[in-house]
Amino acid sequence: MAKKIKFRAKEKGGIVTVKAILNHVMESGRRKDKESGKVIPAHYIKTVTLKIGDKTVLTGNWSGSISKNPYLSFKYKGAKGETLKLDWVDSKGETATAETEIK
Amino acid sequence: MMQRRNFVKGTIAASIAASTGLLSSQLLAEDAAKAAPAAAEPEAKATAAAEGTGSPIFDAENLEDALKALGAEAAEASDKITLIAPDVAENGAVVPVSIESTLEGATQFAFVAENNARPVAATFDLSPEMAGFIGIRMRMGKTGKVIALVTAGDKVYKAEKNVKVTAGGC
Repeated sequence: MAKKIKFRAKEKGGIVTVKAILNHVMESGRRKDKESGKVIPAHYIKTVTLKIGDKTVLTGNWSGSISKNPYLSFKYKGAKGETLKLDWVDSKGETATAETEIK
Repeated sequence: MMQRRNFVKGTIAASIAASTGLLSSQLLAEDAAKAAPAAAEPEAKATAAAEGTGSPIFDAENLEDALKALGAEAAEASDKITLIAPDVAENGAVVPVSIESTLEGATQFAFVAENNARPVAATFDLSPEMAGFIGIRMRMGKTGKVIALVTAGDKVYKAEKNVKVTAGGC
């Protein structure tokens, strides 16, 4: 599978700006297959956690109303050189992790 | 000759009637079989939703319930929250939305789309390190308000913006 998470963090003036794209189908469970007419089962990222070491910076609780291949950006107070870790768990229990050094 | 013809016609008609009768009963049975799993599905969906979030927030199916679940019925409009969203979203499947807040001690951000089947798109639990900015891309089924909710202290504040959706994405 393609790399699941594209992830970048940049510090400027004590504020770290993080941008991430997570590759995921994000099926809402409401869409129907055009040919069979059956509902495509829901499959979406439910929880996104961002941590520095053991410290949680941000937890996102998502629903199927988040776009396919979700994009997330946020800002927090941090410093260069630290490692930011991103985890996600989806509705089927699949997970992915990525780490990035703050530049 | 005529008699034979009538007889043949009659039997054909009868057999058609019989076979369509049979067919329709078969169809009925098939329909019933189809309906059964369809009926079971929403249940499965509900449990799946309950597992991950464990909250009625994402199961809410109208704005009122969603706001109630978020404890935001009496959310106060605040000029310290900026909701950045397009005026017109050409593609409802991808609507970039971000919340910027200068409220002190914000603990939660929530993205809500008024006219979505499930209005709450996402909530974020914030640590004190957060600098008051989150951006996402969300789906919107219909034109309507996007509501940004920010919880700070015991209060919930909001900012709204009307986004016109030209092609739904739900």
